[in-house]
Amino acid sequence: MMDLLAQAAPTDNSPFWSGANGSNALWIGILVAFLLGVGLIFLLIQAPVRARRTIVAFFTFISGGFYVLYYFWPQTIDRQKMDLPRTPLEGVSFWLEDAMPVVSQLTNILAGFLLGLGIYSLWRVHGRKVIKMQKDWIFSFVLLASSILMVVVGYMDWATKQGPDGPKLSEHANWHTINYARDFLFEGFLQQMDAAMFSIIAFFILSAAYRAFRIRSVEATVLLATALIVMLSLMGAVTNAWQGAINHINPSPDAFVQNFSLDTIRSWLTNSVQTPSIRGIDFGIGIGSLAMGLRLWLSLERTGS
Amino acid sequence: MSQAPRSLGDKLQSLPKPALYIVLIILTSIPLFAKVSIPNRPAKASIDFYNLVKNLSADKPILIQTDWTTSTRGESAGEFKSLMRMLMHKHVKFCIYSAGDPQAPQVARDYIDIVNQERKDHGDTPYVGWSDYVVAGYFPSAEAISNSITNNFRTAFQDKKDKNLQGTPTPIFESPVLSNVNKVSDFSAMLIVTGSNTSNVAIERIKHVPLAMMVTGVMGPETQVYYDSGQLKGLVTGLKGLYDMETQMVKDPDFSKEKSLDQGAAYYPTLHIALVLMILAVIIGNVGMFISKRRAA
Repeated sequence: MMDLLAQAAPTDNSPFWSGANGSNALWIGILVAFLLGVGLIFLLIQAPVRARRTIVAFFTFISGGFYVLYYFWPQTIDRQKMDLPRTPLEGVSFWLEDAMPVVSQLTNILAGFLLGLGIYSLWRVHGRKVIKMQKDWIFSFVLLASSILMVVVGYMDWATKQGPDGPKLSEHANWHTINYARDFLFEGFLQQMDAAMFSIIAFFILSAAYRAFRIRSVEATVLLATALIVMLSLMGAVTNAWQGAINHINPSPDAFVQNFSLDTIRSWLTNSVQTPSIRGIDFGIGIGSLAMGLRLWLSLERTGS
Repeated sequence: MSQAPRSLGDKLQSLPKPALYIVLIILTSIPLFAKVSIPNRPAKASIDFYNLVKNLSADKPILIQTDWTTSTRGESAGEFKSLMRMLMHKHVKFCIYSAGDPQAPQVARDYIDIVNQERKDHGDTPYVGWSDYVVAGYFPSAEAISNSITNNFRTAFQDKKDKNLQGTPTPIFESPVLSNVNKVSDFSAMLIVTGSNTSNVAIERIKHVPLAMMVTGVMGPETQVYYDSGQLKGLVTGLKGLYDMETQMVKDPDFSKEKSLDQGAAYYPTLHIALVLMILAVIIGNVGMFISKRRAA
């Protein structure tokens, strides 16, 4: 069985929590971190509701404040390893730069926890449904069975690949049953169903275009004409035939008629209409996100409390 | 009371869904049985992407963020394969990671194996994991890792491991691919192959390295903005972009030995048929509406 906690030997650049593989320091570190985490969560649960809000608001402000400082504080330019800050302002810049990898790592770990939280929530909801035999419980059962099977088979496959036969397993001829099982479940099942699910969109798009795309107003007509030009310009056979017809009228690249090639019209639509529109939308989204971010950072959002 | 017979206009406006679906299935299946070669004029964005990859030096590695899985394989798999063919032909070493989907690193490995098998079949030396490329795995937070890459690449990837030539998980900076890389500017380019909006996250945060992207048709319009502004050095969009890449490879004597026409050439006729069918469906619906309106008037 694989050592689940196996990791590279610590180097000079390793963070302080990187203990040597299998060492007591590593185990003690894990135990302390676990107890500390559980303790903090327990304390947070035990705290009065008002205090809980203040604690969460405090940590939200500190966390958000780091990124606000990082983006708005002057950044170092071409900083070398042995450089020292000359002013307090530079000192903060150096500190922010050094702290960013640690904060990013922490963010990645928190995002990893979100994955775990999602899986826990999924299992809890569907597990309850199966136990209570609620409506459509069989689908929930299939979901749970599939996920457990994938986890078990995936782990066993991974374990064989980490073992002494690992390097040989790049060749199909050397595969064990568990490797075939993983291949069947992941490549043969999950990936194919994933692709099939996505391909269904083609049917919806066709059906929706047929039913909804009607010339009922000037705006709808403009939209339809634009969509038609873009669709036609995606078809190499059509653009070539169209270009041939235009060249037949006047093959000179400077001729006025060349402005009516599908590629030219499409470029004009893309550069002069689509790009500015999307920039405008992005600008609006940006301002909205900024306002939302400020509200979250300053804990002005009271929903869900 | 018997219902009045439906007019032609009404009938044209309410074709049954199953009929539409069956026609779509039958027509889009035709290219599976008949190979059709379609002429093509590559878009400028695709030409720029192609030239960027073609002119990469074998002396410096590149960084690839791959965030696609098989849900968008119709476009992304072909884009990824054409990129791999070019990089392997040019002997450019690369480091792959994902910030969009936990499945993505495995999917990338699978497609690297497919292109490697092609090389073996042609009698070329296959690309070897660890000495020619490394897979740094998955990062759950795209925002955090993008910030970190710009800030300090070495620290951002310091805990990542891949199997060395003996099959032992080893820190990736010990591999020949990343041995000379300290910061993101030590890469000659960063390429992103994605089916989601991780492209936006990257463009907002990655600095100090030329960026280029291969995106799906859906992500095309919003990514085009960054190409137009010059933030992206090249952009391959959807199936058309993929076919652009393949047709450029076909015409390029440098890639005469490579398998140039693949997924793009195979699926491009299907795209034609699907688009023609959609245009026809829209026309039929509108003709029906006009007939009904005229009758009512």
